[in-house]
Amino acid sequence: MNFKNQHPVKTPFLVATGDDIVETDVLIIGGGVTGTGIARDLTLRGLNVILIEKSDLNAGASGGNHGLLHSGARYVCSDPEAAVECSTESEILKKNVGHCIEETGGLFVAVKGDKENYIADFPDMCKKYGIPSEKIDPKEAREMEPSLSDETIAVYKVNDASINPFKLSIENINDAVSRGACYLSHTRIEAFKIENKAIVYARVRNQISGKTHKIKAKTYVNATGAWAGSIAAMAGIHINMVFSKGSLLVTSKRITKRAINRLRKPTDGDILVPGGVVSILGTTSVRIKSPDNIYPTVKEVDYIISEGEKMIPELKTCRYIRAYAGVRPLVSMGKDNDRDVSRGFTLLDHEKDQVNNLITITGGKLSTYRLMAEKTSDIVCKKHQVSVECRTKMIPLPSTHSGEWSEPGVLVNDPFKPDTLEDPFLCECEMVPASAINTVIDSIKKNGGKPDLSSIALRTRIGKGPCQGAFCSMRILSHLYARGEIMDQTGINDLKYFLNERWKGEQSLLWGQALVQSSLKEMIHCGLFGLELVKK
Amino acid sequence: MFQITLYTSLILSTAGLLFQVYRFQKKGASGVPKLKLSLNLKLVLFNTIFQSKLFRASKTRWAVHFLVLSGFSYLVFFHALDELTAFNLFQYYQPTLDPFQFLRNFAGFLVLAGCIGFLFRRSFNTRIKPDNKLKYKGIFSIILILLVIGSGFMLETVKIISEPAFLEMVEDYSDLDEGTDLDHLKIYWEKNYHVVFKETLLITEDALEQGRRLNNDYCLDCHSKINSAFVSKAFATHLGKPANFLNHYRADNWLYPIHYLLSFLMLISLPFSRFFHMLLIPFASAQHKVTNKHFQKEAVFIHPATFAACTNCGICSEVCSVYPNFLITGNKQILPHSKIESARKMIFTGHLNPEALNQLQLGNDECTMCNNCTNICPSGIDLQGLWKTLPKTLHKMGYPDNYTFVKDKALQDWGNKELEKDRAAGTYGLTQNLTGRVYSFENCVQCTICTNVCPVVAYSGNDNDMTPQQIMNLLRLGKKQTAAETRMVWNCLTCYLCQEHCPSEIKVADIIIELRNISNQTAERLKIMTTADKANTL
Amino acid sequence: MKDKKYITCDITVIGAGFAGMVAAARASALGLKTVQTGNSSHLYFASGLFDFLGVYPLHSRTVLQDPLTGLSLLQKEMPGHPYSKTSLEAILKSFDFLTRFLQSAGLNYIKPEKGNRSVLTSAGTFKPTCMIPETISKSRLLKNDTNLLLVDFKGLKGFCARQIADILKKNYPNILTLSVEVPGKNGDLNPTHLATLFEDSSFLKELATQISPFLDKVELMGIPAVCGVNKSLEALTRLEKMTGLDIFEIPMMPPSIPGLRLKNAFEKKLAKNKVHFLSQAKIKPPRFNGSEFVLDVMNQNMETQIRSRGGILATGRFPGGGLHAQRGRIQETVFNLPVYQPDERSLWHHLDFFEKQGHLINTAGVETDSVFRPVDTHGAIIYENLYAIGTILAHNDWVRLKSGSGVSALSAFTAVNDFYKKSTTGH
Repeated sequence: MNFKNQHPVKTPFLVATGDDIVETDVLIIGGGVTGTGIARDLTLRGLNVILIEKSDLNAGASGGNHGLLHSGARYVCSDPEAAVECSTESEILKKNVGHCIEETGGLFVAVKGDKENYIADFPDMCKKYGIPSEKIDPKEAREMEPSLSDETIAVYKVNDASINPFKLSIENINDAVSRGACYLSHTRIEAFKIENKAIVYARVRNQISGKTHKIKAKTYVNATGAWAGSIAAMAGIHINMVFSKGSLLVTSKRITKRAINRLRKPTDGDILVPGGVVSILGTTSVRIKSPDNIYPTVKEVDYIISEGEKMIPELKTCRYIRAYAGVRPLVSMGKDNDRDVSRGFTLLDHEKDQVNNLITITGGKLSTYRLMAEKTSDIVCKKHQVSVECRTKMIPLPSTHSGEWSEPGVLVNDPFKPDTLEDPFLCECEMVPASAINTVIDSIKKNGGKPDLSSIALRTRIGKGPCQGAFCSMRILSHLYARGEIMDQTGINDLKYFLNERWKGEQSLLWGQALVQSSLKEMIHCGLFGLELVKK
Repeated sequence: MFQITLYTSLILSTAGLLFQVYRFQKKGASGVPKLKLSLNLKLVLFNTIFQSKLFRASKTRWAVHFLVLSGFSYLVFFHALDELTAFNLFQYYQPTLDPFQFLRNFAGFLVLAGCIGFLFRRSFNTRIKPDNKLKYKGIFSIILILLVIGSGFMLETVKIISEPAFLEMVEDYSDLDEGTDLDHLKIYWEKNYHVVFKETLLITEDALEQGRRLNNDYCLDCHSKINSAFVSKAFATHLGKPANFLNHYRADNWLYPIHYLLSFLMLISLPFSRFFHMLLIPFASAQHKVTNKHFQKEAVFIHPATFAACTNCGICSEVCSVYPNFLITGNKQILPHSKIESARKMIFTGHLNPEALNQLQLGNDECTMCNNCTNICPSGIDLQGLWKTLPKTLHKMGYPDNYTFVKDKALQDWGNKELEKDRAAGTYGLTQNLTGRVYSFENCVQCTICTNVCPVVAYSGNDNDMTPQQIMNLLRLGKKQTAAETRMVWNCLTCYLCQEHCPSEIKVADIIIELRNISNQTAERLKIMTTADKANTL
Repeated sequence: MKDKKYITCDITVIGAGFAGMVAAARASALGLKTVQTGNSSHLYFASGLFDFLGVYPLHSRTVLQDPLTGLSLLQKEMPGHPYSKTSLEAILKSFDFLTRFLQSAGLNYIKPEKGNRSVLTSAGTFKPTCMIPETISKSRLLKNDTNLLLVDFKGLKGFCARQIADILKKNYPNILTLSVEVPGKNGDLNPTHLATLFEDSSFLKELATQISPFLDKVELMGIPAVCGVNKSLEALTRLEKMTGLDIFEIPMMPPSIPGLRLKNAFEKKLAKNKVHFLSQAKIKPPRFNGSEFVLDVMNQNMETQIRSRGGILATGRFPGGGLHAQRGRIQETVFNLPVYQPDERSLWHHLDFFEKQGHLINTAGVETDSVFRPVDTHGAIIYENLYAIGTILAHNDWVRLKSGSGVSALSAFTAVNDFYKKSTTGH
């Protein structure tokens, strides 16, 4: 039995009813913040849960966003309902998942040429919806944030914060697993077996081993974000999804202490969020046809920079490490402009579509992930006739050792001990030591995943520094081989895949020093190792 | 009376010595474990008898010391202890016979000359300006020597001129009665021995001849010509009128107890005054040097008696490599002869205030361990051994060196705004502000060439933590404080190999030096702040 | 600042990478008074292998068994490529000169033979190359059934014997691995520090004793390329004697010790040849006064003015600083020469890192005439006596073609020869 081998300890609840059928209360599909959030919520209410993810945690929009915990001020004019939601949720999150959040505070900044009436309405709207904001003299604001443009004309202080979505998902799933949940990465839904208006079981395939098996659950939760439409389609349900791509840029250093928003109607290139030691600038909103294989283009990068530099001139000259893109899954209401489509979430109980035990949750924002998980879990509980209240509002999310390495600069927060010498840094840029990699490898294996460069990179800072994997990829690959985690030639393809994933984030912003670094990477991996000649 | 005082002072002196030994043992044991060092016989021998190290350090000082030491040794052995030594060695010995009379005078003269040398150096030496208090530290002992020798000479002088003494001797050692013969002898003695008589004697050739004959009969066995007592004779002949006065009041009788009482006072003060260094120097010289092997122990301290041997001569400070640092910072505790004084106070009295301890720590931090002071120290003290062990002792007392201080304590204080401001106004080494500008280090391509050429990384093993390129990464990650707290920043040899090799032309070494300066400045400022706190709580 | 220094010379070589070193070597060998500026530590990035032509055409993604078949095709299809400007004979001559020069500096290279050699790398792949250091040469003894022992060192990051063995085991089933702990080194082991240890005979003895219990049936041994810095061959031979095995080195990622050996060999021999070297010099924009180049350079707070009749530009590409990319345009940094480049930035790179055609930006560079003098867009020579050599040349994606050292050596050799010919015949 495949599962038992992978989870000798953590899956006591799994009962094999046939050759390859596993039973559980709820099958959650999708390992983003919503999926992991639901997993935690439901396990807290005492349900058995299996969470499957076709690649690994936060592969979709959960990993492709600013990491901005909205105070709500951004939506105060365009979407007051979402604004209020954000406001209440962010306060709950600050209390319960504080270790994933940096309470940076935020500024809304208007520069010369921005629309006067929006600036004028902003404080009143904030007041109206109970979102705290405070007017600040532009001069004073420039003392607080010296990199602000000297053409700043109006500034408001709000309670924005930055949140680490990777840590959030890792900790949520860690907590859920500790309460008996089961997480299966690289597991894709192949088909639903539907009988009598209900899904009987789901056939899933492990992407790595290629083996298939069946999971039989009472309820199925489709939390696949941008892929919600295609999952629903497997159950014969049509959801009118609209995909909006947003590209973001990562600077090589943290430019501001606070999250900076442009004080204007939400549009492109108007948010700069600090994330540990870097800042993230975004975004764009481009309608695309499919959520797969998205990447930022040169044009987008140049456009974001040209917008961002109006607010913070340093963005024109500073070094960028990386660009990435995420897809906002929106359920279409027939509007043309994606920014006009509500950023609120969509929760669909497919009982109305003649599939009684499937629920789809999509859309929404990182800031409201907990609320989305709560509402979804409520429906699940109702279906299961479980009357336990949601507890994620009350019980803080524990912090675990394997989760902390996703934090930028985590090691350097501690005073150095001489014994770090025995523990060499495998990633020099972000100073990730071998012991951290080992911790993460163990945690991945515990969750049934395969420790490779990509899964380690998801959980640590490796490859996220200026070298973008040029040196650390090889060092960590050697480390994996030395530990016996890989024992065949697949490591080369793993390396190629990892470098290519890094490359997709780099290729649009290679000039200046970043080009020097990437040339060096090509010299090593193509020039010396000839990886481009290795065929699969 | 003489016996009583002699034994009292002997007992007192021995008690004093025992007390000192006890004190050294106790301080050595209770304060911090002391080092056990093997015996260095060669140095003991040469340095004690010939003062070989002083000879190397300063010829004039050696000469002055040699005058005092040789003169005084003679006086002790053949004058003070003549009943034990001279009388037994020489059957005909009389203190008033040549060559003993001459030698005594000569020895006294040597000691006098030497002491004047001591005083002269103290008054006119220009080199040891920094610590004037220490300049006159041994003055009590010098004056005591002068008094003993002076009283000795005065005693001899008044004995020479004494008429009553003359008459007593005549009565004891001759059969002469009042009369012409006695007058002849008086005339001869007045002329040749400078006795001052009340009545005026008529001097004739004949009378002198008679006197000479009588002198040969009765006196010459015990009294050589007075010329050999050249110092006392000089006093006696130039005494003039007061001579009669002195004779009248029997100065020869009361100066005698003064002389020996002063001598006994010297004996008593031996363990507590500068005289003690005569005993401690052999002890200090007997100790081998402190080596790195000794530092494997947790905290060590060289024997307290060892550095008690210091005479504050200041020769060490004259050769100190960081003397210029003293000129810049004005911290006396940079100079070895001030440092050792503070260390002595710290161990024996424990009366150093936080500020002084802080200054001592800062001063000692500047030491480059060049070994100049140990090499020159005339007392044979392993000064550098002391400087090496001192930080550990200070650390135990809550005054760690700057590196440890920054590493252990400062984390929460680094963010202090006031400090930030002060640091911006920093005076040295920070003008480039390389660490504050991301452009100076963000071009690092992680090639690790700097690390590969770094001798510190290659050879210091576990003593080092971060490599040069990791320092650049720390800076890029915004961890300037942490970077300044790494050992690498303090271990750096400033060989500049990293900077010369960097393909991205990052000023690696300059950045590391800047970090060290930042760290040092912060430490010193924080120390002043915490010192003030400590002083307040006291 | 100290007083300005003035130097007059025949030829100035700007750049101390591989091409610059070859140019300075050739110039000094011809007796030209030579001044060189630059930062030689870029040679730490050199693998120490001299490539000629490894892959052509690129989309074939196959290693050329014989570079000559690729060369004739390349000369036909890519007229702009440096190889197309000259003959095979010149290429071989330049390699020959290079071998002799390095040999005189104490660094032995194996002369080119017919066909490409393939050298095992630390990634477990084989790299096609032309000339290799003698310390690597025994990798040719590796056959599919060889009993090979691979040794790695704990703490030497990025080199794992098991990795190479696991990757190769399909075709090379008889590979054994051994991980050796270097006594006294329990943290990071840096390549240069380890390489220095190899020159210590007691370390070699200790190493041999650690390895000897595992030598049963072993025929060949591979170690990371850290076997000594200045006396590498000697150290390798000693270890071979101690173990009784044939040993070869496996090149690994930078900092590369074979590259360091090149750097040391060049520096030693060039200093002997009286080449004046200005390290890490910053060059102000040069002037040309009709007969001479006037270069004002700053190094170590000292300003020097160099006047020379000829100039060789060997500043490399982006890592070397010869080319600089702004957000939209690529510039040549010293003379501001025209740079052949794609029209806009979106064309610079492909979305796939391993794109079979390579990235277009790698064909950007300085275009030249047949003796490597830079030309403008109309093909006119910019300066009579200025040459551009090495990787800065356009139309040469050296990383993908595996043609870096060949083009560098050829262009350096040809350019210096041309200058020498002109100056002796009095043109």
